Amino acid sequence: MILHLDMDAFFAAIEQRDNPALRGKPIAVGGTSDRSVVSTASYEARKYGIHSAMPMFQAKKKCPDLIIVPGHRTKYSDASRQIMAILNEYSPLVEPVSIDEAYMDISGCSRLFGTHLEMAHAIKKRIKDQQHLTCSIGIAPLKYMAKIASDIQKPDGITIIKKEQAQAFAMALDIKKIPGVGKRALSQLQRLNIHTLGDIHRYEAEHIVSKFGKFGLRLVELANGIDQSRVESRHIRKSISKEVTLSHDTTDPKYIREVMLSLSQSVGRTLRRKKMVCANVFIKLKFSDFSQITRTHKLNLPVCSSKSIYDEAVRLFENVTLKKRVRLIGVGVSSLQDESVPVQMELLGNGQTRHKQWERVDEAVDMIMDKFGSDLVKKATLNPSIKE
Amino acid sequence: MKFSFDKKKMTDVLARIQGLTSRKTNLSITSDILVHATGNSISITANDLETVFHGTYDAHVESEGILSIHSRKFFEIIKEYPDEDVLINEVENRWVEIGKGDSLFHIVSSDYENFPETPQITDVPFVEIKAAELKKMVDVSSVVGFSGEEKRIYVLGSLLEKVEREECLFLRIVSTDSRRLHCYDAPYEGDLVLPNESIIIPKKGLSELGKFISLNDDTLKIGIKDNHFIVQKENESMMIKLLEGEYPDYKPVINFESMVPIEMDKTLFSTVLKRVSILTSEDYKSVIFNFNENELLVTITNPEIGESKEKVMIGYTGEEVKTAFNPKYFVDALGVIDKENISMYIKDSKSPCIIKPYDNDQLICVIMAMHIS
Repeated sequence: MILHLDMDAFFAAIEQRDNPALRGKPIAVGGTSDRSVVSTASYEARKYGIHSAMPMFQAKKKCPDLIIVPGHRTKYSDASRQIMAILNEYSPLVEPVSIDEAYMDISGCSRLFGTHLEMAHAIKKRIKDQQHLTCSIGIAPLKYMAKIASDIQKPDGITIIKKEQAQAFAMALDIKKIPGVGKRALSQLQRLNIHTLGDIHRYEAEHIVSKFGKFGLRLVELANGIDQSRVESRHIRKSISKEVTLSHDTTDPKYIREVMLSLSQSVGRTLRRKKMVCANVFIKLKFSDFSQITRTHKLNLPVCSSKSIYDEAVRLFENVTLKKRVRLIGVGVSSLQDESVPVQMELLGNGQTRHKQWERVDEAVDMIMDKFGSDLVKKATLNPSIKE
Repeated sequence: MKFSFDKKKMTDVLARIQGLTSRKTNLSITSDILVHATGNSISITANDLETVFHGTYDAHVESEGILSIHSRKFFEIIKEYPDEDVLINEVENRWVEIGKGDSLFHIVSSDYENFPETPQITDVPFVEIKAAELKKMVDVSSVVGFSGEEKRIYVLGSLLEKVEREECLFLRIVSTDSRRLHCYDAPYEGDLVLPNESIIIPKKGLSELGKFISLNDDTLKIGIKDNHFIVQKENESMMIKLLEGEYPDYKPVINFESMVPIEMDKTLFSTVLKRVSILTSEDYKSVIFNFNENELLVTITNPEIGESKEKVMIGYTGEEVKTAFNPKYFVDALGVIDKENISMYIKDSKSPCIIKPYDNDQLICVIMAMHIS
């Protein structure tokens, strides 16, 4: 059995916990400028239709009394760590998905902690007592189902789907609740008259797979009560990325490149601090109308220098035709591997030496920044005092 | 048009060109073959816009004509046809009837006017080369492949040039994926004319050429003209369009003069490599070679699976050298060396390793090391 735990309005709940004046009031955690978005809204605010990722100005329009609270990242991650520690006492298999969400494999834990319901109550009580926060728990035989279950009675609820109920639950499950079904997939599914997971059975498996590819295969499996995903306790970092919302929307390529340079340096530094190299560089651009694109490039050789990441990011950006103004820029790396894993060297060409030389420069810069502060050494183009 | 031919002979021909016609191109008609019936023979053409196959075969032609028909479907029908003699008849409006009597197919063909034109190249200055040698050139080079996203011309194609060694002329093929390089010198007869000092042949075309060369052939004619590499048999020919681009200077890479030679037994080395390769995975491909006095220690550590160790006695007297390699490249190289005794040349942990047959320099395989940090 899999347990999925989801904290209720995590950031907002912490702010309300720490400031009694905020309790019972519609609050939103996020930046104060009109360009920021809501990162979490309290349940009081949600009644006004405010939700995460909504632009702040829109939220204020919906609820003029909305109290905007700036976020306190470290406070949240401290709370998160302590909650995860509680979960680890109940099962060795805990997979934190994000700061406020985790899966646990609780198979075979009943001799220690009683029935699933007793266990869920115990976990909720511990979190309530220690952190004064509430959460919602879903328990189901399959991982995806546990996540859907935790959402059924929110906030402060427990939903258990027993093994014998699982099949009926899956058959009647609204297809749009399945993680991975986005807008596009949903409209395609609806065109096929598929509204519940059970409707998948009306088509041949091959048909679904040919139409939706890998995801189709997953849908067919889920419809047959199979979920290959397991609770992975050992968290392996798959990517490192950083993004920033610009102070104003722009199409100026020079400015975008500058932002990319600073993002690349930050990503590169994190990568090097983790003693890793990457073989994939990607960029993300969000436009003024909130549509977004991502572009990825696979490298021949793994790299870790900021310069190499920046060069790839710019190359990816140059292949994008800008039709709209850019609102947000992100740069990231994936296909990470340990730097000590031997890397195949090139027989011809000298691209490698150049990468290696930049890595040495970065190493020196990183050391200076570690010792004297991260704002001390930077690329000349990023220094406002020498800009015209 | 109406003609009939021998099923077995035609199946062999069609089987060899399936690779060519199954390649995706910008034109859908390249998955067709062009069949031309004249006199008492038929000719078959396949063209993927880079490589062209053309062959002429005996047939019983009742009425002449041309048709463009889907290569794979045509091949499958002929292959499975119950009789030894197959009748092809264009009935009307591009509908083609295959067979007669109890087993009959009705296939729609394409407009042959749309079939890409075959380049007309005449007066090719041909030279003769042993079929086995040409096959070897193809085998040595095509084991060094390329990935789908590859854009570098020198990885997409193999270099071909004339070299003189010990007062003999050879045709040299060089193939690399930028991590390893294979080089093979084949003897030939005649006066070879190259438009430039060297030319680059696409590896895709070379792999089709591999199927074109049959072990029954003794010698083949090869020539280069009008930007094509042409191989000619009695009744068949293949033309491969050359690639244009720069090829890096590979000669320093195959020079082993300043390196330390080690004599080895191919079979022994090969089995050791196969055993250590068991523990490689997508993320951990490297095997550490530790050369010590009269001993080679091969180790692999894969944190996902485990580790292994192999000790081999070798005649080595130099300094200790520790270097890492992808064993697959060695397995590939040993696969194209026919001799039992091989020479291995090493230098240091940052240099490539060279392996070649002990007693000649006809084949040289260079493998770049992996960086150990």
